[in-house]
Parts: sequence; C-alpha cells; structure tokens
Amino acid sequence: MTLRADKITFAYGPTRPALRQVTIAMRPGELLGVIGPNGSGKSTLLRALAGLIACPDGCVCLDDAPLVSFGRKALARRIAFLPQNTEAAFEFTCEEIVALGRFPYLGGLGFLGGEDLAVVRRCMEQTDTLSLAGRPLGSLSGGERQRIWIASILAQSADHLLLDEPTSALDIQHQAEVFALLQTVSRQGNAVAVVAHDLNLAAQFCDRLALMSVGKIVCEGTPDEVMRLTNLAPVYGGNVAVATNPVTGGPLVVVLAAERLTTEPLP
Amino acid sequence: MTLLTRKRFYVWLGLYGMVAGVVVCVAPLIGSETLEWGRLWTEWGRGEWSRDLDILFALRAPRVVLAFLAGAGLALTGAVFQALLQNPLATPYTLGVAGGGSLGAVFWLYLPALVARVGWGRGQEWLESVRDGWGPFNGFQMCSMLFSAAVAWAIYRFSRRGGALSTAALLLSGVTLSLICSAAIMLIMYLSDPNDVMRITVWLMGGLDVTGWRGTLSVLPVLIPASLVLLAQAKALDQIALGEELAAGRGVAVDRLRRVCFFGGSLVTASVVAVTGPIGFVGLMAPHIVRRLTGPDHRLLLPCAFLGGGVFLVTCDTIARTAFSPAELPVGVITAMLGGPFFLYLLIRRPDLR
Ligand SMILES: Nc1ncnc2c1ncn2[C@@H]1O[C@H](COP(=O)(O)OP(=O)(O)OP(=O)(O)O)[C@@H](O)[C@H]1O
Ligand SMILES: [Mg+2]
Repeated sequence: MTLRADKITFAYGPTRPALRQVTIAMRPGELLGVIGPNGSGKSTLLRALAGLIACPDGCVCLDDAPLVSFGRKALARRIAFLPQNTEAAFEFTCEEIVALGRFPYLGGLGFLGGEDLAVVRRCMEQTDTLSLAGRPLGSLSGGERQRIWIASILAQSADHLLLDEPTSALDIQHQAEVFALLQTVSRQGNAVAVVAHDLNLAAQFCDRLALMSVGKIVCEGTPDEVMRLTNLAPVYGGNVAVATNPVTGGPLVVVLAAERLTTEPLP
Repeated sequence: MTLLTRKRFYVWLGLYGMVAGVVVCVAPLIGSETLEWGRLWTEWGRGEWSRDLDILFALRAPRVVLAFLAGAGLALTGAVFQALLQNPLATPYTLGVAGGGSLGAVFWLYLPALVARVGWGRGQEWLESVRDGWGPFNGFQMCSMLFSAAVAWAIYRFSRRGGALSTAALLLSGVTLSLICSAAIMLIMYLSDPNDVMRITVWLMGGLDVTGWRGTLSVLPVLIPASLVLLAQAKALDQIALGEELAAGRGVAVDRLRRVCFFGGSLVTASVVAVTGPIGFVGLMAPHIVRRLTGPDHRLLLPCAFLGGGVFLVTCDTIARTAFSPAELPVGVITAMLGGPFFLYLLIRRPDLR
C-alpha cells in the first residue's frame, strides 16, 4: 500500500536534470509535505509520482509494481494528482467540475450513478463548497476555486493524493482548513503528499517533511528534524531564522530582510 | 442538479431528436411547390408514381438528408475542435483540411482547361474515364478528398513536437496551410476563363443542390463512422478541458485523444466539403447555441450538437430554397447572415473569450 520513488532521475531537456537520484516513499495514514525553493523540482517529483513523466533511471512503484505496469484508469483510481495551476476552459459549474473527478469510474456513455452523486456531495461538504454548487467556476474567487479543485481531486477516491500547492491562493483560515482536511484524509488511511511554500503551516500539520533543493531531497524527517537552521539556511539563503513558536511550541521560521536591502539606501 | 445523470441525458436527447425528426419530415414538403402529406399518402396508397412523389423522393429528400448530415457533421466537428484546441472560436475549417478540400475541388474544375493548355493529347480522354469516379464517390469528390488528406497529413507532420501532438502547432500550421490553399485557389481563379471563375465562385459559396441520392449517400461511409468515433471521445474531452496534466492524471491518453479528434474531425469535414463545398458558420454557431442550452458537458453537448447542427442547416437550406423562390440563394449566404451577427454578439457579450 505504498507509493515510492527509487533513485529516479529526470531531465526535461538536455539541460541539467530537474530530479537527481531522488528516493521517497508515501505511506498510508501519513501527510507528507514537500518543501523547497522555486525551481527545486517539487512539481516534477509529483509528476513522476503520478506517473505522468517517464523516468529512465530508477523506478516509481505502487505496491512494489512499477507504475507503467498499471492501466491508465486503474492507476487513476489509486493516485489522484492536482497540478499546480489548474484552469477550466468553458463555463463548467462547480459541481460539474467536482463530478468530473469520477472519470476513472465511469463506463459506457459516462452517466453518474447514485454512488457517484453521493461521493460528489460528500467531497463538496468536506471542502465547504456545497453552497457554490451551481455557480460557474469562472465567477469564483481564487481561493474558492482552489477548494473546488481539491474537492474534485477528493472525488477521484484514490488512496494516494498528490497536491501541488493547493493552498497558494487561500486566506490563512482556509489554508489551515485545507491542511486540516488533508490531515483528516490521511488519517482515514490515505497517503497524501502536498507541496507548500508556507513552511510554518507545513511543519504544523505534516507528519513528515521532505526538503528539496536543485533536484535533490536534501533532508527528510519529522518537522522538528527538518526545520533547523542548519538545514534551511543553505537551501533558502542565509537570511532565515528558526525560533520556537510561542503558541504551539513547534518550530517557527522567520525570514529576515536581505542584508543588501537594509544597508543600501533607497535610490 | 445540473450533473449528467441517465435521466437528464435521455430527456435532452429525446428533445433534440424530436425536433430533428419534425424538421426533417416537414422540410421536404416546403418549396417552390408545396407538397401535402395527405395527398402524398393517397397517391402512395394508390401505388402510382406521381409527380409529387417524384419531387419528394428524387429532389427534396436527398437534399434535406444531405443538409442534415452536413450540418450535423460540421457542428459535431466544430464542438470537438473547440475542445481540442481549447478555443471557443475554432471551427471545422480552422485546421485547414477544408482549405485542402476546396483547393482539390477547384483544381478539378480547372483540370480540363489545364489539360488543354499544356496540350496533353490523351488528357481529355483520361479525364472522361475518371469523371464518374469509383463507388459512391465521383471524380470531383475524390480529387477534393485527396487534397484534404494531403493537407491533413501535412498538418499532422508539422504539429508533432517531441513525439506528441502540440495544439499550438496544430492551430498555427492549420491556419497557415489554409492560407496557402486560398492563395492557390486565387491563382487558379486568376488563370481561369470567366465561365470557370463563375463555377468556382458558386462552388466556394457552398451549396446543397444535389440531384438524386448519389451525393447524399457518398457522405455516409465516411461521416457516420468518423462521427461515432468523435462521439465516443466525449468523456475524455471533458477532462482535457481541465488541462492536459489533470486529464492525464485522471487516466486520459491525451496524445491519442488529440490524434483521434484531429483525424476524426478531418475525415468528417473532408467528406462533407467534397459534396457541399465550404458552408460556413454551422460549425461555429451550432455548438455555441447548444452549449448555451445544455451546458458545456461534452457527453451531452456532442450528440446534441450533432442533432442541432443538422436541424440548423436544414432550416437554413429551406430558407435559401424558398425565400426568393423560384430563384435559389446559396445556403452559405443564409448561414452567414444568421451566423455572422451571432459571432459578433459572442465577441461583444463574452469579452473573456480567448
Ligand atoms: N515543462 C518544463 N520544461 C522544461 N523545464 C522545466 C519544465 N518544468 C519545469 N522545468 C524546470 O525544471 C526545474 C524544476 O521545476 P519544478 O516545476 O519541478 O520546480 P518547483 O519546485 O515546482 O518550483 P515552484 O515552487 O516554482 O513551483 C526548474 O529548473 C524548471 O525550470
Ligand atoms: Mg511547482
């Protein structure tokens, strides 16, 4: 019941590879946070785990069988993937978008059965989007849209969820709600991996963190193990500081203004 | 709930089917001479082959059926291409196949003059021998479809990027080849004598004036299988509207889908254009109107666009036949007169269109 990547290397072109010898495993019941600076290969890693890119070296395996040995739809019933920037052409309503998540289960002409409708409804309840059901997606705010996309991924009923920055447009309340939701989903026995740029939130909710830099996982472990200055400073640059969060007692990452900006007078 | 349940699907499809049935049954009765079902019935019952029945079966019915098939095929292809290119302004002609078909047809009309010009002695004989064509297709149609096929193959070759079909390249190469074909048509028209220019111009307007069943039947063997293949892609087209990556993650074979849609749509377009010429606006308008009524879900949109497009073109053709009776307007004029303003309305009312 695990999805694991074993020493995978991947390059988009003849340039330097976006993933280099990456090994990572997702476990059922666990929320895994993937963090790292822009361009460090987080999205590429998720694509590889979803089976969307073929890695010539190494192997991505689900239950010890390589992903390529699964049929497309069979794989989609096990692994759900939410890409980083998702938009819809045409004026679909919110509930239609969520219902499209049922694709891997539809046969024949593709009608939704009673069970499909129940799943759609439950996923919209979970993401607090039921009140948006009939509205066109284009008329929603950025954060409301992201919650719809999360609902549509949940509707895929896969036991492995890969979400690429699902909280990038959310307010602090909804950010926390999404993380709490992902935590709940993982507690139900699913393996969930989420990419996030908010290190504090990731540390607060995730069971395990993987810190990426230039195509490698440089550090992996519990939030307390990863959120140390010795790990973060080389990856994010020298101007981060790690303190103890006075409220939760967990680690608190603070970014200080870059030195250059503070010493040079404004023009 | 706007979700696609079995009930919703069959209610909408039944509605469209009924409208289509009524329109197809009534349209052949209207014309320069109005026919009446009652009289036709009694004449049929008496077992005599009257003039009315002759008008109905030999003249009007093949034309109405052709109009329905052409409208249906073009509207279906339009809806599929709009989803494939993620562009609401796409039409069956956007990808240049119709340009190739038109060039082929125009080239055929110019062939006798060309043969005479180069002085190929046995040329006229050879032309006579292929004029009747093969199977349901006459020489004219075969020439048109041959050019369509060549253009489709060229577009396909130009649009492969690293083994996968790129929609951006598809659009660009399609539009470019379309322009090249129009330039070639212009050249031929420039070289032709005025009589031929007239024939070419009339053909390029598009028209449904067939006599007898051969033209109508020749559309079937290509259009029906290709349409069925396109209809079968509906579920996957919904997913691709959410972006390539998400669709792939859901289990859609994105590249295969694009190839199937491109070639399926090209086949439908080529088979229609070879008989009717490039009738405009059906492929743009019908999908948009149907989308307004039934929503963007392709599982419902595609079959409804098929039926709706047929109804639209039969209606336009009936207007074209009767508005200035006994004179006949080119049907392309009517579709454009209805379609053009609608297109502008879309542009004004929907600034979000890309
Ligand atoms: N489609 C692509 N074609 C070519 N290079 C790409 C492509 N996608 C990503 N890359 C490159 O691969 C590297 C890793 O990109 P990736 O998208 O995985 O980063 P990321 O960690 O998700 O960054 P971000 O936080 O900005 O989303 C980058 O150097 C990027 O420029
Ligand atoms: Mg990314």
